[in-house]
Amino acid sequence: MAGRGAARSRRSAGQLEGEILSALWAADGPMTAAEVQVAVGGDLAYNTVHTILTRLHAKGQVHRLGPAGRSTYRPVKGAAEVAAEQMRAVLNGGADRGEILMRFVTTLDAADEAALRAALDAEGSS
Amino acid sequence: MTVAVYLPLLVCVVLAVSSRAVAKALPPRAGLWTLTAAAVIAAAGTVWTCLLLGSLLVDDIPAFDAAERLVPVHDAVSLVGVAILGVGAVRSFLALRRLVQARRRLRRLGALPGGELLVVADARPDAFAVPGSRTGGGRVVVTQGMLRALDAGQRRALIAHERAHLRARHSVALALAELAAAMNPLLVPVRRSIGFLCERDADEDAVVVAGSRRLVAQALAAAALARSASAAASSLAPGFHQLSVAERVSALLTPEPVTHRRLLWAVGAMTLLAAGAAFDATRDFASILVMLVAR
Ligand SMILES: [Zn+2]
Repeated sequence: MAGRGAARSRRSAGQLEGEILSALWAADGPMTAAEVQVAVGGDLAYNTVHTILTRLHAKGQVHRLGPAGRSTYRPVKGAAEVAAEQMRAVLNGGADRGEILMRFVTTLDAADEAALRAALDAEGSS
Repeated sequence: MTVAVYLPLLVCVVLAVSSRAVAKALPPRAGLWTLTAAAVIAAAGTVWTCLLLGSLLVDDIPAFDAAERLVPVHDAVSLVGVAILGVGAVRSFLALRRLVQARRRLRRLGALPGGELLVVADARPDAFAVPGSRTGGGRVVVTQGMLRALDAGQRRALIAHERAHLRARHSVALALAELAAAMNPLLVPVRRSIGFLCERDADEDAVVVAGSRRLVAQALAAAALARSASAAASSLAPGFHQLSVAERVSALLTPEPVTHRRLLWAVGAMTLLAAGAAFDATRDFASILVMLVAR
């Protein structure tokens, strides 16, 4: 069942760029376009993945290594360390109180954690 | 002065008491903007009420005496009005300063090179949206730790959720709600409900992009558990939001969450009542002032 619903999904170019870039960041090393295709869930055409990787490379967001046709890709990490410092400045400054910062998830209390684990377990067994 | 002058305060109390239940029953997109408008108008009504009450302390002007004869207002009530106004003004100033400071820090983060997705070299799982300027922009900030804690489908849901915040301009609603709650602390629970509706709205947008309610629910659960497993995350005040991830997950695991559009009208009508009451109280007051000037 899981993932079949993706056939109905509508995804913009920005969304796809984000997914592909985040797959490269989550990986341990450089990946070929075919490996990226698998890493984003396998529901994108190879050509789409390749086109977006080329676009990300042109924008300076990924490095391309090796000969054409057998290239591997890895994310450009230039801003990531600076970003970490700036993020800490933001979070320590109290912006995390939810005034303008929209966090994906907030901290959990014990009851929430138990409820979530139960929900996940039910999912895993289905 | 008629009893209408107290109505905005009554509306604030009703909003405060009902906001949690109302937030769960409202359709997220329309609900968050309706509640935001209600909070702003209720806060403005509070200011107005307190100004009118406070003005009655000025005894020497006949117009105010005349106003007081309609419905007698004890000096103590007027003093409370002045006190509320003072506290609200200080709190609003502090809230505004906090917002401006946070925005400045966020803008620095948002100005770093890269595309819409900004990955941060940090092992602690975290993700949030950084609003752009009026012309758009805005970025999705995600730590490497968060990306590694999620699988491909969950990353898709995360990115879609954060992009939804940017597109729907939720930061505007949150800032307005924060200022309203600073002016009148009765509105703090309303601010929380608006925050909850923003998250629900972004979750539902993520469902459209990811194509599955379960997938978004799993992404939320996985991200939340990864965060709570990371010790450093506990430096945040737990429970500040009180709009729990568990409630969002359970809404997502419901095939079609039941929402009540009629509630939107109820909230809207109540807000109009507050605005109308403030206007009415003002009219009495103004007509007396006009009398005074004409004399
Ligand atoms: Zn969110």
